[in-house]
Amino acid sequence: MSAIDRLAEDFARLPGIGRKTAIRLVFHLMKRPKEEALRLSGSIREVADTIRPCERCGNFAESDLCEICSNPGRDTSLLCVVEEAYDVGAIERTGQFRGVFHVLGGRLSPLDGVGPEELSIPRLLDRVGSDAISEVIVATNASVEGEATAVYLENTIRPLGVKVTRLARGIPVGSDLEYVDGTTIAEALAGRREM
Amino acid sequence: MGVITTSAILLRSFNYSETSKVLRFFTRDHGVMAVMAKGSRKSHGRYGGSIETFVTGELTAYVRPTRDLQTLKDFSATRPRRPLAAHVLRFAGASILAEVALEHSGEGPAPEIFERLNHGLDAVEVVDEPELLATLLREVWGLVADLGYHPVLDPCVQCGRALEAGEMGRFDFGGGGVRCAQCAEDGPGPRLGPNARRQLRQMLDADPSVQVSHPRAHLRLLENFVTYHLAGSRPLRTFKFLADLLGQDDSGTLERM
Repeated sequence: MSAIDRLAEDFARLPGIGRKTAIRLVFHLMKRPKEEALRLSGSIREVADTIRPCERCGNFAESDLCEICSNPGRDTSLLCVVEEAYDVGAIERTGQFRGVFHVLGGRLSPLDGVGPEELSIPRLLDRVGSDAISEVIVATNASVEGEATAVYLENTIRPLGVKVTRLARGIPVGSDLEYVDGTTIAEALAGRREM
Repeated sequence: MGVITTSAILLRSFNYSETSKVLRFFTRDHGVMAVMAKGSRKSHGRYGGSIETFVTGELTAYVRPTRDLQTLKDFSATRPRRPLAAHVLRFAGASILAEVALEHSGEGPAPEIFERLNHGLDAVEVVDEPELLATLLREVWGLVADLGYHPVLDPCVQCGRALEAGEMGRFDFGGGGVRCAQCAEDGPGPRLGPNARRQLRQMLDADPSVQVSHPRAHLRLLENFVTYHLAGSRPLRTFKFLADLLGQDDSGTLERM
């Protein structure tokens, strides 16, 4: 197998990249100055060497603690629980949340053999029990599995005397009501608020 | 390529690429069917919130008989089951029904199994909490029986003699049912008292009045039966999930019943 084929095969293993796109990426790199390809390979090596899970929250980190956990300006009494580390980025991009995070590493899924022990729920309970946390915001996905995970967390955390809240669900911003499915409208109706 | 429309229950989904999902349905007319739902991961996607685990609806798909993975054209939910997620034990019970149906994996028309599964999910969703385990046992045994694995409770699967009313038997998984006291000596399988046998018969007959004493012991019996006959001796993940939720404090056996 040639070097081109090996690189194309490696690219094709990445999510969202098929064989044709992988070959196009390889040829693009070959057309560009050599330094660009070396910079890309250096960045990949650096990420592989330095990025690891944050010891406190499970987010991506370059040292023992991630940027959020080591930031003294964050409100550590507010804890947002997400399924995966990339969900942290989605919430951070809003610029509306100043608390800290906890990454579960998935959601309850009996059919996949994922129970509470397979997630970082014991560590979450340790944090809720030992840190001065006043509110846990459960930001798991709005799927049946994400909802069941949220309910499990609520049942487990509420007896510890900590307020548990859930992200609101409803009509996506900018969408026409006419085109929204019945399940979403029903959720929005159930979660309506007084104006 | 043809287009088919059938009633279907979504039992499982996997993310595929940045925007799509692979969905596994149990359909009324085609058994278990896997379809690709392009664009279904987008929040503004064409299917919105209708594609959720355990939902029942009308599935329309482009089908090529030579392919294992078909293409979703449309899905309209007729029976959303989001309330199942609001109670973790109900969620676990629905997952057991789903895994048993998926283990079957037949591709032909299966209207009776479809209706049984649909009814089972409805029952697990709405039953009062104290009756949840008994209802789940009844619905899963009913599904297992409809799939063609009805255990023989009388007569003895070894000698053919009818068991007496108070006779202690033994459940022989390999034999597919109960052995009498004489044939049960030193044999494998859990011992099964007359009450446990009666309750098991009621569950298999879908008798809604069944009162299940030691439901966790019945759950272990069901798990072992399903593992032996449907899953090729591979333990089913959903049973372990439910057992972990229930805890290990039940020492009840079916022998004393």
